[in-house]
Amino acid sequence: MSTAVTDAFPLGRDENRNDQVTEWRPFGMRYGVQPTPIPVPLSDTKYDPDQQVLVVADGQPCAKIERAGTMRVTYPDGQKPGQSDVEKD
Amino acid sequence: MTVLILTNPFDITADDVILRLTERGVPVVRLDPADFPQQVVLHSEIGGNGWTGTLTTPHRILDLSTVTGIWYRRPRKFRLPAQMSQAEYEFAATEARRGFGGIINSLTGWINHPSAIGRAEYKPYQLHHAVQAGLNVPRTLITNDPKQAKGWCARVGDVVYKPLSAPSWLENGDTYVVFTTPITPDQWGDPAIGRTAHMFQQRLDKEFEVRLTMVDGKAFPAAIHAHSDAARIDWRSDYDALTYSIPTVPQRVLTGARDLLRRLHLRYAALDFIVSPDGRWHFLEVNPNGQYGWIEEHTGQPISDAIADALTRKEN
Repeated sequence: MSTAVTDAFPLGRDENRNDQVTEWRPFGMRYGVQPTPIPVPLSDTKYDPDQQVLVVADGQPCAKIERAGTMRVTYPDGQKPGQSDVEKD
Repeated sequence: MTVLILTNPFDITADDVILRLTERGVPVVRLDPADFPQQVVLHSEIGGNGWTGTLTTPHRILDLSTVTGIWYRRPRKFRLPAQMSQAEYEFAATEARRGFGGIINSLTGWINHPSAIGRAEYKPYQLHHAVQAGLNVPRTLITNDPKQAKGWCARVGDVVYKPLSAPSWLENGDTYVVFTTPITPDQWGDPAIGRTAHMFQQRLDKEFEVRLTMVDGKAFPAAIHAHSDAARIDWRSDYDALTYSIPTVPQRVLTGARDLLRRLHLRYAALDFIVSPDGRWHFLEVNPNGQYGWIEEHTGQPISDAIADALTRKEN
């Protein structure tokens, strides 16, 4: 999905940037900390296309068991969540 | 009437609302844009009534003309074949965005429209409108000039640094985020302030903080009481040290909050306030797509029901 604002201020990554800390580090990045995610035990869950929700082995919706705001850190299909999925923004 | 919910399959907050809508007999289609174009088929044609057609998932067919409510929750990016070259990927992604995104954007009944979310996520923009809406906003500076920053901090005295976005980054395999951070006089004029835009804000004494969740004008306030040093600076940094209660929202704040959301074209939002020891409410920020599930859990307020109500209400 796009937004006009995002289009107006493209933030594409330049090539040839490395991932090491440099002497050019912005002031605000000095205060980076590792977040404490709140994982959900989803090992026995699957998406039920009929109910359109995540369910546990017996078909009961996870939402009836676990409450919102407790997202897993890594999606099963390998995509990475945004911070808002890790933190209760 | 059909409600379209754009989110990933692992969004339990959306699950809760989907279950409530289903119990009410409201047709719901849950769709993750990540499934376009490989699992979702778009077929749409423009006519006298605008864009009509269908979105077909492996399990459902959505008639676009039946959509009366759309919830933009936690959709993921389009997922394209891994075999594509970089050029092919960029072409396909851009066309998917303009095509799929353009059709979806044409629908009405959004909570919230992605363009409104995009605009409202700019903190300077939301602070500007918060002032216009009559809310108290702490003294705030945005600059990339270390010298000016030093002078401003010296005049204000007690200052915190706050990122302008919700940055997270990966270094050496670890994820990092930035919370609100008090800064000391030796940091006020740091040359590294010159390397991008930085936001500084007057640090306020807190009696408690408030997360005010708003849905179509209805207010669901939660006072957040911090019981650790870290949580007292930024409650996001230590959830285990928090307790919750339901405060009374002053009418002036409520009026300002509603005016702010009207200005930002948001039907849903989570607003953060500091309540100082003198009882004044100070607006910090608005999260146009903020989480609310844990607030509902801790306070028992029916936010999910309010969202279900809003999604079945025709937008004015």
